[in-house]
Amino acid sequence: MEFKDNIPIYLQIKQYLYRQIITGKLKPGKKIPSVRELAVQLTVNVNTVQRALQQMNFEGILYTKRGEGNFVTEDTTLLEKTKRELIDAELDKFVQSMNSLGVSDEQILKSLTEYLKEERK
Amino acid sequence: MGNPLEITDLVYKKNQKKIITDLNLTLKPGKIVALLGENGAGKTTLMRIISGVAKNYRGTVKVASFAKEADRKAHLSFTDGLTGFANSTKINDIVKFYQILYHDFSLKQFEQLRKFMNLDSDMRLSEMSKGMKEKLVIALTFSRKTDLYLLDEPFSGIDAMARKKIIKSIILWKQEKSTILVSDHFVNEIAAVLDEVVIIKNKTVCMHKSTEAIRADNQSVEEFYESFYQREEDE
Amino acid sequence: MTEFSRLFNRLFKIKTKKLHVLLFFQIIAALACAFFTYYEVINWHIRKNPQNNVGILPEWALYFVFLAFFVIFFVYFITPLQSEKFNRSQTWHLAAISDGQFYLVNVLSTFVSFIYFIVLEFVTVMILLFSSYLTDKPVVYFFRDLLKSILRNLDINVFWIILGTIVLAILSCFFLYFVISFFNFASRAILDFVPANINGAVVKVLHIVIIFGLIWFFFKIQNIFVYQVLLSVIHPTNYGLNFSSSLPFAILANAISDLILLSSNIFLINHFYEATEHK
Repeated sequence: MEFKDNIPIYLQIKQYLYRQIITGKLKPGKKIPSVRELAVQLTVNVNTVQRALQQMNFEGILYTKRGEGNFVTEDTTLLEKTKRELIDAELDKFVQSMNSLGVSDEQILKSLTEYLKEERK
Repeated sequence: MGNPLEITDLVYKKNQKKIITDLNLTLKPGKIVALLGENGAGKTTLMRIISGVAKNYRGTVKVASFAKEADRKAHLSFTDGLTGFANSTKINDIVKFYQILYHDFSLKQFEQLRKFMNLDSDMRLSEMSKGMKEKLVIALTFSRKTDLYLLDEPFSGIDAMARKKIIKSIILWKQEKSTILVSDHFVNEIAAVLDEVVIIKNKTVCMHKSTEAIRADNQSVEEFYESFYQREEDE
Repeated sequence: MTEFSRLFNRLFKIKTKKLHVLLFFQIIAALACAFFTYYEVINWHIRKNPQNNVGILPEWALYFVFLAFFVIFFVYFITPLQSEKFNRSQTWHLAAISDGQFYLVNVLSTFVSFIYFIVLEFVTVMILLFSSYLTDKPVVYFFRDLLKSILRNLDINVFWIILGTIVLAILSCFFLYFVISFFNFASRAILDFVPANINGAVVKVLHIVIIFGLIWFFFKIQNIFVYQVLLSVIHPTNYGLNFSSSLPFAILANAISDLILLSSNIFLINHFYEATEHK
């Protein structure tokens, strides 16, 4: 896992963990790796991981069992919402970059449909 | 227990030349801090002053609230180049030396670190590459339990694999409350594990900032560091 | 004090390691010498030397004693130089002990390892002599005569002189250690004050010049100090005492010089002398 050095790393760790949860690599109700394990795995500072996990706890996507560690929430609506947000964020990036190329919203839709059709073949 | 390191109004001269002037620096517990600066900026000198090896300075240096040199040495672990040993010395003998010299040296911890670094304890200093020696030095330094760890350019002249090992060992073996000060003239390779950076320029600390605060301004730590030296070139 | 004794043990072990090797070579060398005196090699044939009337064992002991003078002398001068390496080493200075105390540990361990070496030499001579005594008739007679003459001449005065000489020898031994450290510390400290823009070779030359300057200065002061200051203050005749020998005076002068040197060395190493990270 490589991090961009001009974006706060705790944000990138959060993004990384969201993806792990949404893609099912970290399952609802299951324990996630310890702070130190994550730090070593991602080669980042323990304090930074701590900060990311704290925020995710605050958001409710993780919950802490005292003395056991952090677990992924089983609240499906929250998980859905998180997935939605992540997709929206990606779409936002995509649309923005298309717009900057001078492609209008209608054209985006058309091109995307055509593109997907081509790909499916 | 106070801060792991508190330096106030430090001035150090050698050969009638000022090497450090009016330097103030306080490090909080539990941080990984980079000490950045050009070659010859005084990073090693500063570490030698902190560990009581360099003499005849003005100002106060406190390690875990201790100002006396003997106490300071007991509360910090400095990456020494092992130059006090003959080339034929085996790792085992060096470990014996550390065990005898430092109460807080843990043989168990060293063995774990040694295995992690893939070092053979029967090896002699003369048989080791630069990277291996650096790994040994780090293993020895982290086998002590102290408030402050001073790593003097642990990444200079070693390959990427050894570097990764060393960085991972820093994350793995650092105790929660202890602080690590690691000097380098190049920050890219360790940026992700840092809490703070301290930049030395013009013989003193010119910037002390948290890395996440730097990134929050959409700057990379490296750009931030380079900007300090860039400005000088522009002037 | 535990730090002190741990460090002492470690340094003592390192310092005596090479001395053991030296002793071993001395024993072998003495044996080789004895062998070639006892036997002759003519046309690749070995035969007993007809001119020799002592056995190989006393011959061995004799050569060992003969070599011992050189070896002990050599060790006497080499050990303090070696101990300066420890004084200069950052690795050792990082031990959690004040530099003054480290200096004391270093000097003491050097001294003790030197005494230890002398004891080893003595024990080896004794073993060799004892085995010759058991095997050789002439040696038995020689020792009997020697012992007799010693007992005949023994009186309390001789005992005091021997004791005084031993004390003086020990003090002089420390004097050598302290003087060498003093030149090392003082010259380095001065060198650190010299303006910076000179290159490596010049620094080396300058270092040597400073050392010689210090030596000259030191002995000048030492002379004035001992013969004019000390002599006028503590000379026995001042107190109505009448000593025939100058031994007590020499001991006192030496002890005072040692103390002054030791305190200036501790001061220098605590405040000025820097260990180096280089080899």
